[in-house]
Amino acid sequence: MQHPPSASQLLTAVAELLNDEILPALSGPVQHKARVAASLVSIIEREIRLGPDAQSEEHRLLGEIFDLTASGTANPPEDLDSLRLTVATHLRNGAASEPEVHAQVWERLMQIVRADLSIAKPGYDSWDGV
Amino acid sequence: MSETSNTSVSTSASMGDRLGSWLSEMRGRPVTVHGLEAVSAGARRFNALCEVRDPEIGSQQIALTMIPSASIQLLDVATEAAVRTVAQQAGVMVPAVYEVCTDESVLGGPFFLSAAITGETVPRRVLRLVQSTDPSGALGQKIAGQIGTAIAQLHAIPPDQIPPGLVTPPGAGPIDAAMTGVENQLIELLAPSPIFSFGVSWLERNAPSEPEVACLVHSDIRNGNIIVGPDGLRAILDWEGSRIGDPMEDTAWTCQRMWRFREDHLAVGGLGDAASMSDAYIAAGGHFDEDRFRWWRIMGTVRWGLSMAGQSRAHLDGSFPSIVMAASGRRVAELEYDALCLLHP
Repeated sequence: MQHPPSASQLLTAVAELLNDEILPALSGPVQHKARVAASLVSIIEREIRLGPDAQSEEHRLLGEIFDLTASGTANPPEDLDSLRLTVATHLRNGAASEPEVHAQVWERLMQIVRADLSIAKPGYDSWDGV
Repeated sequence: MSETSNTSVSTSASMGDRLGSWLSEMRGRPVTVHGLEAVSAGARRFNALCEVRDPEIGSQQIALTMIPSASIQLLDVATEAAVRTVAQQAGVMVPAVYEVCTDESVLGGPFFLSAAITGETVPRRVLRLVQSTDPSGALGQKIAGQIGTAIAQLHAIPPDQIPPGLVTPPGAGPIDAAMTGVENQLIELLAPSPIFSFGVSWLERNAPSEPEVACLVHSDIRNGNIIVGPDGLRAILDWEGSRIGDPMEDTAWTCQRMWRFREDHLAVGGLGDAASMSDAYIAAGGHFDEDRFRWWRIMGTVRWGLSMAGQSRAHLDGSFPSIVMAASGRRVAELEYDALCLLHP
């Protein structure tokens, strides 16, 4: 194993360096790109910490959506990528058209995207109006 | 995208001199150009400000809009200038177009000159100006209303006055064309999105009929494409996306969350309520269709989210490698969330 700092701690240090020391020394388009890079470093730091849980939660919720939208007694694909594709195909084909199914599927999709936002843009989901 | 063409366009004195020579020839008197300064340079547009000294008119503040390479123009400059002129005649606040030049040899690309309007255009600065001028919020509501009025005036332009050469949606009409567009974007996704699939299915089931009268739409009226002063709205900018469309796509686009810059409770660009915009739209003679408006809000959100995904693909496949494009992939969730909020059961 690598000696500490952990990957997450190192990324936090890189983000601080970019934000506190490097960004102020830049200007124009390159400053904009550096700001984007600093933001990505923070996202990746959160992704390392929160990603595994978010992914297993997504897996569970997609399984439930599969059960809500699959016709017959088919079993859901085991790996997450295949399951995501299968569920997306069901949804595209209107398997959640019926209002009750729509509401149940919506609830689960909302949980999935909130977990994604906790990594990519924390706080974005505090507004839930239109 | 600002870095791509900055170097291909020179803002040196020679560009001002060339513009001055051309203007002298056009106006038939000795005209000079001073202080030419680039204000933004994108892949599709080069914008600069300068002072023109004309022995008859005096000093004019001018905005130069040039297409660096004619091959990537969405709308040719002559058509864009014609759209601005017809919109201005209809009452829309548009910087007056003075001259159009389609000869690429003059400055290196086709261009037009228009009046330079003072005021704020950068969204966060627009919001700061509005909030500091009038903390009560009335000025922001007024601007939302002015936007609604301007959109109604634009949409009221009779079909026989719409400049030829604008893109007409392929297929049965704007609804059909938009559906085909998101369908293709969905297929091109590098990773499937159950949320956008859910959204596209809803859009398909709830698609309104094609508009009875397709009209001239701007397609990108929002905080970011307007000039604002302490007195309110001064101009609507960036007419390169003008085309034939459904009137409600313009009204819906002004209300998207990404143009609110954290002022989420004020639907129209963080400035005012949707009702301020729609009431003014109706008062100016527009027909406001709530169902159609909602459909276009969802369509605009899904389409924008799919475009963000497309930007990350452009980075990965090498067609537009850029950290900004790459980062767009981590913005997709924002638009998925916005789409779900709009699809609330």
